[in-house]
Amino acid sequence: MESAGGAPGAVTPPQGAPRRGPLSGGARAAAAAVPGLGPLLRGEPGVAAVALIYLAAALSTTAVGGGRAIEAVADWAAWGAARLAGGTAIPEWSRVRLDSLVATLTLLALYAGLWTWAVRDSRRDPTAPPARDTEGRRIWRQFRRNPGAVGGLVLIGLLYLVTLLTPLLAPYLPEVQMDVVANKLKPPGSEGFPLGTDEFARDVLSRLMYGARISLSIGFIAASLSVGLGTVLGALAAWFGGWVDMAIMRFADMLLSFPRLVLLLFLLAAFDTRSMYLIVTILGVTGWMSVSRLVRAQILSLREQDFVQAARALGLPTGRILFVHLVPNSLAPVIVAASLITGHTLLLDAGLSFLGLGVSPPTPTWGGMISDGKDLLRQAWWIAVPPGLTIVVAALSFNLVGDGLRDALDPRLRT
Amino acid sequence: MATFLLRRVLVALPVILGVFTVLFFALHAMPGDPVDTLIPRDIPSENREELIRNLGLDQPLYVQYFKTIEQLFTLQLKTFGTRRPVVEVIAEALPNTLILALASVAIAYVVGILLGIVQAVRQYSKLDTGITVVALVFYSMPGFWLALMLILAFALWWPVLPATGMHSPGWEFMPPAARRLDLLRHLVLPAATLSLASAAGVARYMRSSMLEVVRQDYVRTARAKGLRRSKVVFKHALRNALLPIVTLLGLELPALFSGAVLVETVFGWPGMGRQIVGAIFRQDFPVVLTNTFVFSSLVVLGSLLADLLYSVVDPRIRHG
Repeated sequence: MESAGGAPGAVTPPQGAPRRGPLSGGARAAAAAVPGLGPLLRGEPGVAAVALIYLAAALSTTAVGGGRAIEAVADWAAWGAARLAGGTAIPEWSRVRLDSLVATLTLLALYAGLWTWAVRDSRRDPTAPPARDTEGRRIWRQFRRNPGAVGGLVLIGLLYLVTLLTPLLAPYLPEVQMDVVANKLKPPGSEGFPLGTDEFARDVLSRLMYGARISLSIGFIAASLSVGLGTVLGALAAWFGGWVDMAIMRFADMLLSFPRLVLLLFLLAAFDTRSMYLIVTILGVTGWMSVSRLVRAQILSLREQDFVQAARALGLPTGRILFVHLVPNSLAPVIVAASLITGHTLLLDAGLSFLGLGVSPPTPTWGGMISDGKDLLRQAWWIAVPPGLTIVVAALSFNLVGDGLRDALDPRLRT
Repeated sequence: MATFLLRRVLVALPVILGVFTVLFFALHAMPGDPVDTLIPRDIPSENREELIRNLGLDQPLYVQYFKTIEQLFTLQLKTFGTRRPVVEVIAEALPNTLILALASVAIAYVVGILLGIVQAVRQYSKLDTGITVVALVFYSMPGFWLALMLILAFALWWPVLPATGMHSPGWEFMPPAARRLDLLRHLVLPAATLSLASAAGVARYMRSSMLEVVRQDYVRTARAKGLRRSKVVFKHALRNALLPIVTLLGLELPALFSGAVLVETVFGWPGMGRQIVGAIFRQDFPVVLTNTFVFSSLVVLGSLLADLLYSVVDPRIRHG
């Protein structure tokens, strides 16, 4: 979500363009109201184009999917009200597909990001001297010097743009089966099916696009869950030490000492139908170990520093010291790990789907599509090849961004 | 040294036993009954109960737990399905997995270390950037998909290598040399799949480790003395640059076994990975438990081996 919201800034403003002064009066108000207008008025077409594309994407997706989003929210509200009333309501929310929920949240984050940026940008004075050099600016400057990392960020931005626009761009719905006799296993380039069709005469391109929503959502949420869990557990282990540390870290060792895929298989095999919620939860709670080690090491080294002693002397509650003072100071390696974990989770989720233990069909996922195509390699290579390529692109982007962030955050590591 | 090893094993044992315990109780807590996969539901209930009694599933959980541990260590554990000793079943698969894993590790480290050295020596050249990019692409690639692509390329479109299995039909009647060649031909694709991703990882580490070493004073001194560049790199710098790579070996093993589960499934390689997938689906508890036990023991053994190797390549480190 952050990447979608932050992406308009990813494009370098043209350096050679004549610099104009700050916007004033009505122009400023208009620039704040329409993201992208500001740069356009100031003569920065590149930035303006990216912002306007994202605005258009957000608006058109809202127009198409808004009804569904409202339904989803209404469902949640109804379920919450029923619970509050004391009824043992059927968990209605399980009907709401996680990917529509993620799409809705991404959309809201995109709107928030676009307008925050627009308002700030409308007040910007391009002729003013550069502001105080903050740590954030320094990292961003380092990051931008790395073409691979910027490329990865742009690719992630594009992927999220495509997933937002999927309902508009995809020729068919992913589960729709065409006339099987006439349309099954059509090769790429057939009329109406740019990437061909699968065994059940479903359009490969449409499945690929809807699959992106699901696979990327799973990767993103599961990785966030792992990172959050790892941060909390690592912080607790470092702060309390003793048997808490012992228990948490030995448990982490245990989970690390046998193949994670086997653990996942064995947890998932027990369920007959696997929803996205289940996959996300299980992927999330089995991936926190490396983060907890990172956070623990960071906090152990920070714990004795003066500012922590000061906070303790002031009598601040432990929770506040931990999560307001210590954790934010140890986040740098965690952010890097988050990006790398997202890439890794995408690969793991694909592996699970491949073994038939991912989200149950007919929900399209990239791994599931590869699995569908594996027995038809000879007759129809086009079923298994494209989802693998998109997985590589997505995982590669997250790895590139993670590497770039690590280099930018720690110049000592630059090689 | 001996005390160090002993201490390491003593620390590792509770971890392995913990894995076993958690897995045991989780297996029994999961929905689904292993008996259902063995006999149809409409079988008379007395036969069903007899089977449950025979498998020992009627006893209290803690009794089953201690019985399973006892049987595991006395090698008496039997599979639910065929009632063969689990040791026998695993003994068939373990060598196959080891062949695949060792071949992949060997390829990954030789290729990865060489690539890393080339990159470090030619830092910031086109070659360096190219290798970095290609390595990252392989690093971001799902292994099972790479396996399918290799099958597509080398077994279907250009049929030079066998796509599945470990032996050709009729290999029992081949002379020993032909047998070995046959095994080798079957090994190429799975080993390539498994080793490409980890070679990419090794090259990344090797590059940065070599770069750090090459910048040190003693390397500059060696060059200044007039030694040839290749000699400085391979004799003086390499040994020090290898240190972090050796630790990597211990960390890579679980990932390697994870990869083996998928790759063995794709290539129909009769190893432990494929066995454990089958056993999980059949809910054959003894096979799952013993397999994981062997897996975690191998991982612990691997990291122990890495520590030992570490003291071999770095004489400064003396355990004890």
